[in-house]
Amino acid sequence: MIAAGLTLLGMFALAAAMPRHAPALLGAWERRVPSARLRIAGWALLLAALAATLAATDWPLALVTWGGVLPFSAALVLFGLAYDVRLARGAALLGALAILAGLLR
Amino acid sequence: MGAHLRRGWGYRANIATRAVAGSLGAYLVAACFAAAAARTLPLPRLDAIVPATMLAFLVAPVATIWAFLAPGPLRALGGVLAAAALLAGIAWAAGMPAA
Amino acid sequence: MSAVRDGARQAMAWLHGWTGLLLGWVLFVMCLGGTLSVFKPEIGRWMRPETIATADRATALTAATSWLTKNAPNSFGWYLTLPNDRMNTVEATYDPGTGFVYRALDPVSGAPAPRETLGGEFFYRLHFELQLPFPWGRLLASLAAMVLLLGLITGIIAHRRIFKDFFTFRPAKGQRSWLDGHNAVGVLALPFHLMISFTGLLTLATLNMPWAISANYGKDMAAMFQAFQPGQIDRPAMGKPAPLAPLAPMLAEAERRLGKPVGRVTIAHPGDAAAVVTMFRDDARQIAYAAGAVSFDGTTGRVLADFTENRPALQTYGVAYGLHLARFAPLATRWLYFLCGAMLTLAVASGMVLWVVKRRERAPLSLGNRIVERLNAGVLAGVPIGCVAFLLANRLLPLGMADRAGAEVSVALWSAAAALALGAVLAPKRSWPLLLTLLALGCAAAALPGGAFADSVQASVSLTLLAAAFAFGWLGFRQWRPRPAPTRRRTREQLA
Repeated sequence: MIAAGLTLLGMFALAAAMPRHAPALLGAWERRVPSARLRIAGWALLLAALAATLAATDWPLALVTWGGVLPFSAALVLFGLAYDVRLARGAALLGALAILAGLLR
Repeated sequence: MGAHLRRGWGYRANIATRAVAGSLGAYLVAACFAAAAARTLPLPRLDAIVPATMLAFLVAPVATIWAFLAPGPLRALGGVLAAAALLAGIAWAAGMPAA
Repeated sequence: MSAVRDGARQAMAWLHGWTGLLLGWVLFVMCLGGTLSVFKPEIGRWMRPETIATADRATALTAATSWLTKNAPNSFGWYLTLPNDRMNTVEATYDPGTGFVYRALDPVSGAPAPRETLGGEFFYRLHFELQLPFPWGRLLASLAAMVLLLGLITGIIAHRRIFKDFFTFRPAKGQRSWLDGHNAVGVLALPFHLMISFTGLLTLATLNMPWAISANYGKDMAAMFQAFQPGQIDRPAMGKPAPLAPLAPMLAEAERRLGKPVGRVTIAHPGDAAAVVTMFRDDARQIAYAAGAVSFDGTTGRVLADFTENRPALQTYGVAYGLHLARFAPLATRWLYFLCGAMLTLAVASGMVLWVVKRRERAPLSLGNRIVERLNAGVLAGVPIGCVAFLLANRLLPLGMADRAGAEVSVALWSAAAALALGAVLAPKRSWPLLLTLLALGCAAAALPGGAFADSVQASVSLTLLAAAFAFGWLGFRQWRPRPAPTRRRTREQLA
């Protein structure tokens, strides 16, 4: 679950780093956070998600699970961007909550 | 890719030759690669078959792509046949591995 | 320099489109069949609602072999899959005298389930044999898989801004939206698509790329198979009848030696003095397929061979094979496979639609493209209709019917054919909504009849069907409302 949350956040960060989508996703925050840092953060979160799955189970299964969760996090952010930006921002929130829930267990 | 030959016979021949090179030809290259790799890889007789076959499945689309990116249709066909012949030669020269 | 690269990208886009068009419908059937096969055991249970008994592996094995000894004594071999937590029956392939059949055997009585059906096996076979005779179905599937791999690679090369466009999706803009959608389902799950197409090719490699094997072994295939799976002993029948020794002790011994539960059991020449019982590790316990086997002499129970795969190259092959079959996957991962498979199926389908939409927005369609447009409706909606008809037939055909399993398959094929005919005859703007609505009704009808929610497996399948019904219904409903034709646009901007 932690991995899922991390990938969600990671995808969000990556998307936010793109000049095309930043205005929609970040709103007023856009000027505060430079996009390069967001991009690095995005990739770092995705790698952290991989580390989380590796910690949870043996490496083949971890790779498969990580690879499987990635498309869905991306898809969630994608749909948010296409249809309703609040959905994409909600995805980021969901990601954070998932990480928290996973840690608390 | 010869836009000025859009619907002429030159265009069709170009595409047809590349298509043959990219389909039958590419498979031939992959098959010869599989044979050559199986015989020359420094692995036991059975083990070598695995990487040879796996790589052959990657060689096939690469050969197809090359057939359509080659400078001309004859170059495409020639190149593919040459690669297949070379690989077949390597396989033949290596000979079947001993039991 | 970038002009050369652009030329290469255009060439790859051209190749991607044409190879996709040639085999797209075959790929659609394969991807749909494969996606449904992820839940093969669950669908099988849904299709045999009367068979709810469970038993441990030893009991089930003994019951099955007792029944088979009485009813298929002269079969060349019995090929069994023992029950596990996903499948409560023994899946058996055997020859009762009239050719090989596939049945699910009750784990307590050993007799075939009263509802004779192929179950999820239908989708599995559709996936790699396309309902065609051996070897043509598998050869066509192999060809389509090679085209899929080629399509993925050419698609990646042709997609100019693969990372920048990663989060792009502009709905309701005609061709632009279809392209965005096609790219989205293709790129988002790209690692899965590459993995599944490559591993799929590998599973059929003995048929479509056997040259490494023949280069190293020539005609001595027996030596190859023996080296490949030393735990499995193959020997010809002796012609002398002799009863099989009890199998439960053999099972216990095999599990002790392998250290893991047994999944598949093969009994070669049952009832003959040269019978061999081979037991394989359960595929659900590790990613690799057929990771270990133990063989016993059939009449005495003496161990003939015992092998657990430890050679790196062959372990790699086993893992690749296992990655494709996904039998190792726990429930959540199985759903991921299912959803990624659905995305691949949608990628193929959206590609076929995109072909037509792109040309339709440029100019009135040529005859060839109009045929493609109609076949699109017939195949992309018709094949799912066939699948749903299969499920409906399972619910509606009488239990005692002769060759019931074959009849279910016939219903599926004829329904798909009828849908194809409708797609050919009706104008696309009528056939699409009609076929989608029929599909939605079919899904709902299959989900609802009695016993649909009896246990969790039944409920999951039925709920999935209902969800599908809603999705297709919504899609179909949107198509009923007439939409204004998109204005013809300049071609330059449209080519991505």
